[in-house]
Amino acid sequence: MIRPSLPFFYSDADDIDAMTRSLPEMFPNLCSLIELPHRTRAGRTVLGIRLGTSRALTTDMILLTGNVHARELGTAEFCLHFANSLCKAYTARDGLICGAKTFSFEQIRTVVEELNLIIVPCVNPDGRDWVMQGRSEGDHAKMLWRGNRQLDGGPDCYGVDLNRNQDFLWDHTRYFHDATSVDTTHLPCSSSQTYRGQSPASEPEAQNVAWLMDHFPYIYAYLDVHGTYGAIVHPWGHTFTQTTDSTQSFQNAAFDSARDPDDLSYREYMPPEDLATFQRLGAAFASALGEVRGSEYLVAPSIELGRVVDFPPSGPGSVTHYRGTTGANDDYAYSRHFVDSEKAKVLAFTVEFGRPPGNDDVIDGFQPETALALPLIVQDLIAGTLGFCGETRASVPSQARLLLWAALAALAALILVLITSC
Amino acid sequence: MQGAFDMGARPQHTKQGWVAEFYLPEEECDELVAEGCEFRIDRAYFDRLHEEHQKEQARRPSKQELEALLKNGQFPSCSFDEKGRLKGFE
Repeated sequence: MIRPSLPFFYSDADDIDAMTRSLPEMFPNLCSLIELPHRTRAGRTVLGIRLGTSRALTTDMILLTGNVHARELGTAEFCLHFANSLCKAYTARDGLICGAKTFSFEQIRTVVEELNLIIVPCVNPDGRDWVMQGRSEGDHAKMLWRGNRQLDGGPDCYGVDLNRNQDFLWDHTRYFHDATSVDTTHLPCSSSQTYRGQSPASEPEAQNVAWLMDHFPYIYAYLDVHGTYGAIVHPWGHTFTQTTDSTQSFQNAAFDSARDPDDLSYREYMPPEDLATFQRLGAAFASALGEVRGSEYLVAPSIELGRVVDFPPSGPGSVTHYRGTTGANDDYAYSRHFVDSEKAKVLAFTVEFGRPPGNDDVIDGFQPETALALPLIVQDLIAGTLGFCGETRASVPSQARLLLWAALAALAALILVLITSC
Repeated sequence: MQGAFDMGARPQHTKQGWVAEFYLPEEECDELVAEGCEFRIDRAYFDRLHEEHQKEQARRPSKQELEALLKNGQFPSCSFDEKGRLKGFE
C-alpha cells in the first residue's frame, strides 16, 4: 500500500505553480497542464491539471478548486498532494492507505481510468502571495486576507471576495428583503471581506472557474475547498431548501426583495432526487474521511453555516437566525443548468477544511500548524475526496449517457414531427 | 486597544450576537466595543502563528532544493511512519 504524500510547509504561489507543472512532467501519461485563460490582476496565469487516463472530452469529470480565499492556504497543498498521491498509487498499481482508511488499487483505478479530475490548486495566486508575504512579515491583516487583489476602493480595502462574485443572485440588494439577510456586501472597503465586486463575474479568477465548466461540459461534480468549519456543504447557500414548489426559484422575479433565510415562507426549490444525491455524496465524503482517524465533518446545505445566535439585551434566552451567501461557486455551479438547460448539471459542494477532533485551538484555523495539523487534515481530505469520487461513479448517472439520451430524445421528437407533417 | 482578532474556526458569537471571524481595523473595533459588543481578543494567537512561521521557514526547502526535487520526479512531502509519526522529506 502506498502512503499519500503530505505537505509540511506552505508554499508561495510560484512554488505552487512549479509543483503543478511538475505533475505532468512526473506523470505524463496521467496528467496534462491547463493554463486558464483569464490572467489575474497581477498578470499571473492560473494553472491547473487534468488527471486521468482518458483523453476524450466526453469523459465524466470532477472539478476540484483550492485557495479561492487567499488565507486558506492549505487548500492548495491539499489539491497538489491529492493529485500526486493518486498518480503515485496508480503508477505503482497499488492501493492507498490514509491512516485507518485504505483504498484498493481497483478503487484508485476506477477514479483514474473512468473519470477525469480537473484540479486547480490555487485559484487566487495574487491573494495567496499577499498572505505569504504577511506571514513573513508578521503582518496580521495580510495574513488574514480573503479576497483577490482588486482594490476597488483604494489600497486600504480588502479585494473582491471571489466566493461572492459569481453570477448567482449577485445583486443581493435586489433579490433579498434586507441586505443583512446575506453575508455579502457591495462596499469594497467593508471589513467583512465579503465584497461582491463591481459586476457579476467581474474578476478574472471567477471567470476562470466559470470557464472551466464551459470548456469541460462533462464536469458533473465539483468540490471547492475552503476552510475552516469541518464540513462538506451543498446548495443552497442563500436560504433553506424545499423539494415541492418549483415556483419558489431564484429565477422567479416575483420573490425579488422578499427572500430572507429567516422567513421560511420562501425556500429555494431543488428536485428531490438532487437533494438525495447531494446528501448521499456528502455522506460518502464524510464517511471515508471519518475512517482515517475519526474526524467528523458536517454534511448539510450551505445555509447551515450561516447560523448566527443572538442574545438580545432585553428578553430571555437566545435567538437563532441565518445569513445566507450569494455569488458563491457551489450555488453558481449548480444553478447553471436551471438558467440554461443546455448546460450540464453540476453537483457542487464546498468543503470546509477541518481541524483535529476535539481541538479548538485557533492555530488550527485558517492556517493549520504545518508541523502536524496540516498533514493530518490533508490526509483526511484525500480520503474524503477519494470516497466522494468513488460514490459519484456508483450513484450518479454518467454525464455522457445523459447527454446521449437527451440527443436521442431530441432526434426522436424531430422524426415524430417529420412523420406527422408528412 | 490595538484592534480585535478572532481566528476561531467556527464563528465566535459574543453575547450581543456579533460574529467576528476576521481582522477588524482598530477604529471599527473601538466603535463596536462602544456599542457594547464583546470580542475575543487573541493577539497571542498571532504571535504563535508568527513564531510557527519562523520555524516553518527553517523546514521549507529553498527554491533550488524545490527545483532539484521536482526535477528528480519527487514531490516535496512528508508521510507518517508505521507508528503514525511524521517523517520529513521523502
